[in-house]
This record gives sequence, C-alpha cells and structure tokens, in this order.
Amino acid sequence: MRVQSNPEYCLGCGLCRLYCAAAHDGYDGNLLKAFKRGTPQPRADLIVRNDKSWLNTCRHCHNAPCINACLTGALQKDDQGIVFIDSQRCVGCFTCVMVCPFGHIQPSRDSYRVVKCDLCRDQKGIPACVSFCPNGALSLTEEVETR
Amino acid sequence: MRYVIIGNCIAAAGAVEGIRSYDQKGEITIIDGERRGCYSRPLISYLLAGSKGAAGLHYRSEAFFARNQARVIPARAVRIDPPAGQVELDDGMMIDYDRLLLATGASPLIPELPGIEHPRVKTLYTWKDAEEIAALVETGATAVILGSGLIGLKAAEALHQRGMKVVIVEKQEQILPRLLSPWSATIALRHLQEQGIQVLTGHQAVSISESGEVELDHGAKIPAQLVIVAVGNRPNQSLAREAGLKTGKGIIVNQYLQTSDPDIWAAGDVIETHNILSGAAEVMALLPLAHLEGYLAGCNMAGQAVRYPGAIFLNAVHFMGMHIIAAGEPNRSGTVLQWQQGSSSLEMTIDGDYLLRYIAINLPGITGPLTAIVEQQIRIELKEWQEFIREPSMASLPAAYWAEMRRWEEHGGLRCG
Repeated sequence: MRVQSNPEYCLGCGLCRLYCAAAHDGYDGNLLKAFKRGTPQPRADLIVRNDKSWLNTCRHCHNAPCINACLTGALQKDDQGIVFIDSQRCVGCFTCVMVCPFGHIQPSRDSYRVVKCDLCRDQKGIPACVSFCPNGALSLTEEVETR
Repeated sequence: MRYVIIGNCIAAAGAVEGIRSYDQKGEITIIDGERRGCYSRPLISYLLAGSKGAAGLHYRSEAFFARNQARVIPARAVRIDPPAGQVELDDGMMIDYDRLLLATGASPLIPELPGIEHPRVKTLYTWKDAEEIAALVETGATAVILGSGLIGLKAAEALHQRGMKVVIVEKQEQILPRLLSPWSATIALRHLQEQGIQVLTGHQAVSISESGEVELDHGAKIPAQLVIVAVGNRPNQSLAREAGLKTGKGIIVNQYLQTSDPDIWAAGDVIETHNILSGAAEVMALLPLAHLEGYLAGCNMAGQAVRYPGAIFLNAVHFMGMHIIAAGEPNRSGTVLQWQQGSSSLEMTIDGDYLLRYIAINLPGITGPLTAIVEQQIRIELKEWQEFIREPSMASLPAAYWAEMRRWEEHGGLRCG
C-alpha cells in the first residue's frame, strides 16, 4: 500500500503538503492551527523538475532499506505494511536518509530526527494528501511493493 | 527445527525476523553473552552523554522476542561442536542446534602500549564500557581519545557534553581517515575545533604513565583523567576458527551467508562481505548492513535461497551539530567535484560514467539517491554531474536517476535480497 503520484495531473500547488502537515503532530487536520500557530512539518517533498511536478512519497518497501539500516530500531513496519517511525527513539543520525533510494525520508525541521510518510495511520480513512488533492494526481494503491 | 543464534545484537534481531517470515514453528534460541538484551551499540555514546536513559537503548524490546517466541539465554558460548550439532555455554550447559547463526560481532583493537592496562584506559564499545567510563567522568578534567573514527568522535562529543576537556589524537594526517577526503576532513576539523575539541593529527600515543599521563610520539605529555582507545575493531572469530570454519579477516561466507559448514551461517560485523564496487571480500563492519545480513541469513536458515548481493561502504554520523554522510570507495581515484555553501559541502568522485564516492556535510537530503546511484552503478555522464553540483538538490538530480527510479517502480527491479 502506498500513495502514488501522477505527474500528468499534478499542478504543483502543494496543497498535499499543507494537509499532510496538518494531519500530523496533533493538529487534527486544522490548517489554521498548524500554519498560524504551530511548526508544520509535511512528511513528503514536492519535486518540481522541468515542466513536471510530483509528490515524492514513501513506497513502503518490502524488506525496506530504511528499516534495515536504522541504528536505533525507531523505524518499523506495522501489521498493515506501513513503514513508520517511532520519533521518541529517533536520534537524527540520518542513516535512513542515506539509504532511501527514493530520497523520500528527510530531516525534520530542527534536524534532531527524521520525518516520513506514515499513510496517516493515526487517522481514519485515506491519507490526507490523497483526500485533498484537487486534481486527482494522488491515489492510494495496493500495488505490489517495490522490493 | 532448532535454530540457535550466538550473539544478541542487530544481526540476531534481523535473523529472528527472517526465520519467522518463513517458519512460525521452529524453536529459536539466542545466546546473549553480554546479558544486556538486544541494544543498539551506537546509542551507548548517548547514554554516556546523559541524553538517553538506559530504557532508550534497546534496539528490539523483550516483547519483540516474546512475540517471535525466541528464547534468550543470558550466557556466553565457549565452544561449537559441529559434528554433534551443539554449542557449549560458559556454565557448562550444552545447547542442541539444527541450524546455527554466528552473530558474534567484533571487539575493539587494543594497541600494544606500555600502560595500556591502566584502569583509566577504556574502550567505548559495550553498554558496560559506557557505564565504566561514566563512573570516571570528571568535569573540567582532560580526556584523551586515541583515534578519530566514528567511535572516537562520538566519545569526544559525549565527554565534551559531560564537561570534560577533550583531546583527540589521530595517527593519520586527517580526522575520520576512513570516511573523509582531506578536503572534507578539513571542514569537519574546523567544526570540531570551533566546538572546543582539541585535535592532534599525525601523532600517536607511545605510552601511558602510572599517573595517567599520555606520552605522544613527539614527546608531548598530556595528563589525562581518562583515555579512550578507539583505533578500530576486529571480528570475534575465535569460536568459528576453533570449530574449523573457514576464516580470513572475518568469517568467510557464501552469497547465502552460509559458512564452510552448511549448517552454520554468519552475519554482521564478524563476516567478510562482498564489496560491490571493489569486487573483494572485506570486513565491512557497518551497522546498516548487520540487520539485512541477519535477516537474509534467517530467511536462508528457514529454507529459502535468498542471495545477498553485497554492499558498499556507507556511514552517516553526526556530532556537535554537524551531519556527515559518505558512501562509496575511499581508495579509488577519479574526477573530483566539490561544492560548498555556508556550513554545507559536497564532494563527489567520478570515474568515467560512474559515481564512485560522495561525501556530504550538512547536506543530507540528496544522499539517498546518491547512495543508490553508487550502489546500483547507475550510469551518469560527468557533464551531468558538473551541472548537478552547481546547485545540488533532489530536483537537479540527473535524468538517468529518475529514469532508473521509474524502472524500479514499474519492474520492482531494486537489487536487494
């Protein structure tokens, strides 16, 4: 399971990142709370290259290199196959950043830990980025894992 | 099926996951010689610094082993008897195995120096080491670190945070000699010095006096409360040797992580790993490899035939606010491209159309793709790298990388296990 990004439909508006940030860190999806009063931290980057753009999402790999490489055991896979991070155990060594071939995992704003897509596993329903993409460029797929 | 794992570290945890992916019923027994549970070795410097408590050290919890029905025996293995299929423990108990994994790790190298047995000379390799060092910490006193590798620097950081004066002594002409180029080492050195760490490169200790004074090769003497020896590690292969397994610098395994005895596998810091770039079998004692090796060995012990393609040297380390990430072959030459802006820098070595190595300081974001390009040997022309390095970012990565990425997604073509 993963979010797939279709550059053919992506306008590069970045709403996915706004709603992603608001869906995490206890903002309960409230954009105002996240962006006016908080320190929002989107879980994926929007890549703009030539005339195309796309959200660089996590592939939630089978035998994920980030989990193999994690020094502390903070990166784990849950029963649904979602690769997620236990932030309490992350020390920000960036070993996972170094081994993610897709460049998805990124340092947090303060560089003390990393952030990554968790498919909004703490929320109900489909991930926020998919729900709020105005142009249908993002979809949740059940496709076979990449590794 | 009775699986026995000697060692309870990262590779052991990987092996439990690998075995249980294919065999839910077999008995798993882990022999835990350190008797500390499955903890993350790199975290002991955080314990020493006081930024992490003992509870935060575990790599996998007791619940993990319970859930996977893996029995952990707090004892040290002293002998393997392959014809009998038994492991002898230090309390005399014999454990029967059908399939055995050696995950015995490595130990610090101790140089032969007069005074090296001094009680205030320590290594920082185990949880116990960290506790012993912590007991000797004295605010304002001097700690001398022998060696400027990853362990040496993390020890320096921790002791500095505990209020000690830290002096690093490095035999080579630069710090982190196995990780950095002279150019990037200069950048890292400046950062260390700005943080108040004294670094003496091109020197080594020749003796340690009874009062704890460290004498260097040029005659200088440093009175030290504490000396940390961090000059490298060596695989713990005595059990394997005594059992008659084939060993070199580390235990020799085939591409299925099987030793010369078909019922015994080995993984982690104790083995020789196939270096994808050099083609040689080398000891590549890197934590990021240990879990994968353990996992694959576990899968194969449970009857699979999953090939381990080997690895490249790679390391991510941060100390005192500086993030260093480097991967690839340190000893091969090529065209060198360098970029620097503020506290960030990037150095890349390119041979023909292949990226051999990169060193990124305070520039983590692009390192995942660069590692993949080195490891998978994705062909990218020098002129594209020259374009990329003008402004290194995800968006400016060469087109061949993105094309390869799409191919992986379509065909699931990533080489790994």
